[in-house]
This record gives sequence, C-alpha cells and structure tokens, in this order.
Amino acid sequence: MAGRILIAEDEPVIAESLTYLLERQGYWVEVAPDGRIAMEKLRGGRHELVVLDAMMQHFSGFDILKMVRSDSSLAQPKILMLTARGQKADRDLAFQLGVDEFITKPFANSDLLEAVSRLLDGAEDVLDS
Amino acid sequence: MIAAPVGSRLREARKKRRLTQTKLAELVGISVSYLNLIEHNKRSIGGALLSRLANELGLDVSQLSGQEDARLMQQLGELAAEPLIHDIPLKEKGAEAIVTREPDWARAMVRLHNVWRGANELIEALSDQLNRDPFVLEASHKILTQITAVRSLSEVLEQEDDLLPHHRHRFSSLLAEESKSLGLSARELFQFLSEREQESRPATPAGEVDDFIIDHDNYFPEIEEAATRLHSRLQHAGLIDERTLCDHLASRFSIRVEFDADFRRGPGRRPGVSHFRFDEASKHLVLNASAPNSTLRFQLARILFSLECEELLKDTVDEKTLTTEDARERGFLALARYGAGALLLPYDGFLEAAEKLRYDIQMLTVRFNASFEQVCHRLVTLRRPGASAVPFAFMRTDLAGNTSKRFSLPNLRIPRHGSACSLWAVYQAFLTPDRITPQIVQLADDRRFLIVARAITKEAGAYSEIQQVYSIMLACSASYMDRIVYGDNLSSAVTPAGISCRLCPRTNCQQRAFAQILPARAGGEA
Repeated sequence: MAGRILIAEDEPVIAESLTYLLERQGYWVEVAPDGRIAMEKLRGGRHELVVLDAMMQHFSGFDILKMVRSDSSLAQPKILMLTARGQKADRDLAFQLGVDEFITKPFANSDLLEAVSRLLDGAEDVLDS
Repeated sequence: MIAAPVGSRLREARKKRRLTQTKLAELVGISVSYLNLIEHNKRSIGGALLSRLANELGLDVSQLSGQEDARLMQQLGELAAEPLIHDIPLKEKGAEAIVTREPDWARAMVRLHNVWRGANELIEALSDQLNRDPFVLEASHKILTQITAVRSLSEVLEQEDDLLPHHRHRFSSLLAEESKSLGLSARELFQFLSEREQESRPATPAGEVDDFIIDHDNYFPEIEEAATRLHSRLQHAGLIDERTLCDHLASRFSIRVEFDADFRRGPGRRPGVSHFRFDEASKHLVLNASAPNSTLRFQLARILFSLECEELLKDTVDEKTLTTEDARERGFLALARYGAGALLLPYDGFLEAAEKLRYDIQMLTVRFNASFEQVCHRLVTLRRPGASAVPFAFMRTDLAGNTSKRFSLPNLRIPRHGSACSLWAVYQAFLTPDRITPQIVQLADDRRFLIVARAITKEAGAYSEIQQVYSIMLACSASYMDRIVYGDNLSSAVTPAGISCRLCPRTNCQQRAFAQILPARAGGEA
C-alpha cells in the first residue's frame, strides 16, 4: 500500500490520531496545521489525497478546494473533506466545488479509513485487506 | 413646547393651603393687586420673588418655573414617537393638558416608558448576543471537534491491539486532556445557554427587515437571476445609463420621466428625503436633476426593477419573519434596492473587477459609475455559493451615532441597538471626511477584523437644504487582508476594540461609555 496524504487539520489531537492511523496503513503522511500552510505544501509536493478540514485559519477548506480545483498547474489530488458543519448546503457546495468525499465530524476511524482506501486504492474495506 | 402656567399653579397651591391673596402677598412682600396679576398669568416672574413664593407655598421652584413641565413634555413627546403606538393620533395639546392638570399621571407614564425602553434595550442586547452568537457557533464547533478527537483516540486505544507502549501512553494522556477540555467546553456552553432568559424577535419593522436579510445571508439568487435577465433584455453590453432606463420605463410602462432642476425635496415614504416624486395615476416621474448622477441612475433602476419584478419581490417578502404590513413594505423596498444594485452592478462582472482591483472601492466607483455606498452595498451581496467575494459586514451611521443600515457577519455582529464600539474606524472616519480610513481591530477574544470606512457627504442640491453626512463601513476577517488593497502596510497598527460597550469585557477601556450588561465570559466577547 502506498500513497502520499496531506492532512490539513488545525486540531492537533485529531491530526495526530489520523497520522497514526494512516501511517499504520502504510501511507506517507504529512500535516498542515492551517489553510495557508496546506496551500504551500500542496504547491510543493505531489499528494494523492488531501484530508481537508473545512474550518481552518487563513484559508477555509472550501477556499482550498476551490483554489486547487481551479489551478491546473497543481496535481489534482483526491480530496476528502471533514467538517463539523453537516448542513446539506455545505455538502452540496463541497461537491459542486469538486470534493471526492465528505465526512461529518465526529466520525468513526473505520469510516475514515474506508473512505481513504476507496479513494486511493479502490478497495471497499481496508481493515479486511 | 407649552408655556409654563406659573400663575395658575400659584393660585392652585395657595388655595390648597387655604391662604388668602392678602396673606400670601404680605408674606412675600408684594401688593395684593400685583399678586392677582401674577396669578392670572398677566405678569411673568422669576428669580428671588419666584423662590419666595415657592418657599411660602412649600413648592419646588422647578415645578413653578416650568422646567419640569418642559421636561415632561419632551419625555411624553419621546413616548408618542414610539413606533409601537404610531397609529394612535397623539396630539401635543393632550400632553399639555396632562402635564398641566395631572402631572403625576405624566410622571407615571414617563417612568413606565423609561423602564420599558430600558427593558427593550436589555432584550435587544441579549438577543444580539444569542442570535447567531459567535460564541455559540464557535463553542458548538469546538465541542464537535473535541468529540471527534476523543472518539478517534478511544477507538485507537480500543481497537489497536498491538499498540506500542509509548503510543498507548501518549494517546491515553491525550484522551484524558481532551476529555477534560471537552467537559469544560460543554459546561461553558451550558452556562451561557442557561443565562438565556428570553429570546425576542426584533421590536420594530426595520429590525425585522434586518433579520430577514441576514437570514438570507444578503444574497437572493432569484433576484440576481431576474436582474441578469432584465440586463440582457435592455440589450446593453456595458453600463446601463439613465437614458436606457428612462426609455424602458417609457416604452414598457408608459412612464414619462422628467428631470426637474428646481426640484424641492420632500419627505420620503421612509425617514429621510426623497429625490423623486412618482404619480402613479398620471404615470409621471419627476426626478431631482441636481442629485448626483449615480443616485438618479439607481433610483430609476429601482423603480424599473420594482415594476418589472413586482410579483417576485412580493413572493420573496411573504415570509414568517416579516410579521407586519409595514415590515413587508420595507422588505419590498429593500429587495427593490437589491435588484437595482444587481442590475447596475452585474454579479459576475462586478465580482471579477472587485477581485482584480483588490476591492479598491474608489476604483470600482469609477469603473461602474456608482457611489461609494452603492459599491459597498453591492460588495456585501456577492455571496453566491461557489462564487462569493470576501464576506463583508456593512454599517452606515450618522454623526449622532444612529445606525441606519447594517449587515452582520456570523462572527461580527453589528449591534442592533445603540452604537457600536466608538474606536471603530466608522466613527473615526468623520474626522477625515471623504478619505478612506483603514483599520485593524482586535476583539477581546483576539479575533481580528479589517475595517474600511469613509465619511461621505450627500449633495444637498439647494442652498437651504441640509447636507446629509454619513460614515460607511465595510469589515471582514483579517485573514482576507492580503486580498484587499486596504490591508497593505497595516499589520503593525492594531486597535484593541470591542463590539459595543455593553457587550465588551475590556473593563480598562478609556473610551468606555456604558457598563457591560453581562459579566465577562471566558473565550469570547461577553
């Protein structure tokens, strides 16, 4: 299993927990603690997946989504958005802007790992693989 | 203002004390005939003689001199001006009669009015604090985030059998910390909510319209679409000018438009004066030719949009939030103005220009032949999901601090009642009229906002007319500073400020005018 993942999440405990879980699955993981750093890292590296928190300092997850999808010079990673706001309007907007998966907090680790696996490996259940 | 009936008061008081004119005249050292003239209001008195008479009759000088009457009249006037009782025809003569004949009744009414007004202010303040309160939103978000962290850590500890000891120790301690923090957040939110005694809707139709617009995030997609359709029907590639609007009013609605150089402004349907008169029967529209071009264009666009899209506007205001006919009428006008803005400053072109010019309002006024206020207003409405501008709050205030227009952001609530923080540039801008004043303010919870304000003077027209002076403000989160021209070179100058005195926990602020209504709360503006 391989894959470069960027976790853009300003809550350090969640970032640490997700890093542990994803690294255990064999992914290469780095963390951006706010929107601006996330954009810098996205411009500097070729990530295959971004786990993107919707509400962050400097740039929101929606801002980043929009910037990435409208910038053809960037590699177009899969984007999995995490949000505490589960309103339909947010979900619709995210998909309209080109998100690949949308998960509402709080989530089960297994749901997140399954979504990551679906996006990167095409597998249905990473925990059984 | 009533004339103080001093003589009648003296006569009444003397009779109550069963004194004869002769006795009272003797006590104060004047002739009986002179006292008689005074008692029949045929001589004005004051100074030492008034004091002696008051003293002998056991009265307060202010009661006799008319000072209290004048004060009561003024206070009853304020009571009569309450929108709540605008449909009751209260005449000044009635107030005079109450003040003269039943001053205790007048005092009771004034006292009740003052208490009622104070209670309303408190309700407004609490409502401001609760409705879309940034604290509630942030606390809810924080709690959900903490629950996510706790859940994730718990699942790792429970499900990962081969967790290394140092990982287990690390995650256990993180879990303990996060659980503790979650408990505190929940308690904080609970305490805040339990302080809530009453939730109120705004007391005035204007307040209802404000809420209606805020509920829609100041973005009305159907009106934007209607404006786009109308724009293309006018078959105009560039800016729509007055001539196009007049021609369309004439051809489609048979309205004759006249520009009157001697136009005298009269009262509008709402507070303020109007630059036009429209006689629906004769379909004759008269505009003030001396009004600024941008104003005329906007008025024409508003009238045209109201006529073209009347049904749409009526359907849009037919909401539960607008509970009175007055509120719905105001809502209709507000949406018609929105439509005019959308017609004259088309969404996509205006947004593109705004981004390109880095929100340089002056440049946008030139590019779109619009006023400073019209540009600011339009910027606030650019909230289309997926194609929105920088989210701005908006405020318009006059020299007396009356806020006549406002639009809040979820995290920056412009006070509904009374003034905002006097340290905001919207007030400072009056010191440098017609110049843009940029500012960064930092609230007590460390959130920063970029404020851009400018005092404007509206053309008066005739010499005898009063010039209208306002200060217009846009404000946005400081995180957008690098997209806005006014944010350049500003980062070192930060003004510690609040939202308004009654909501601000900065107890040591030298500009504080009122005490804080609710005690300070950790983690945000109180």
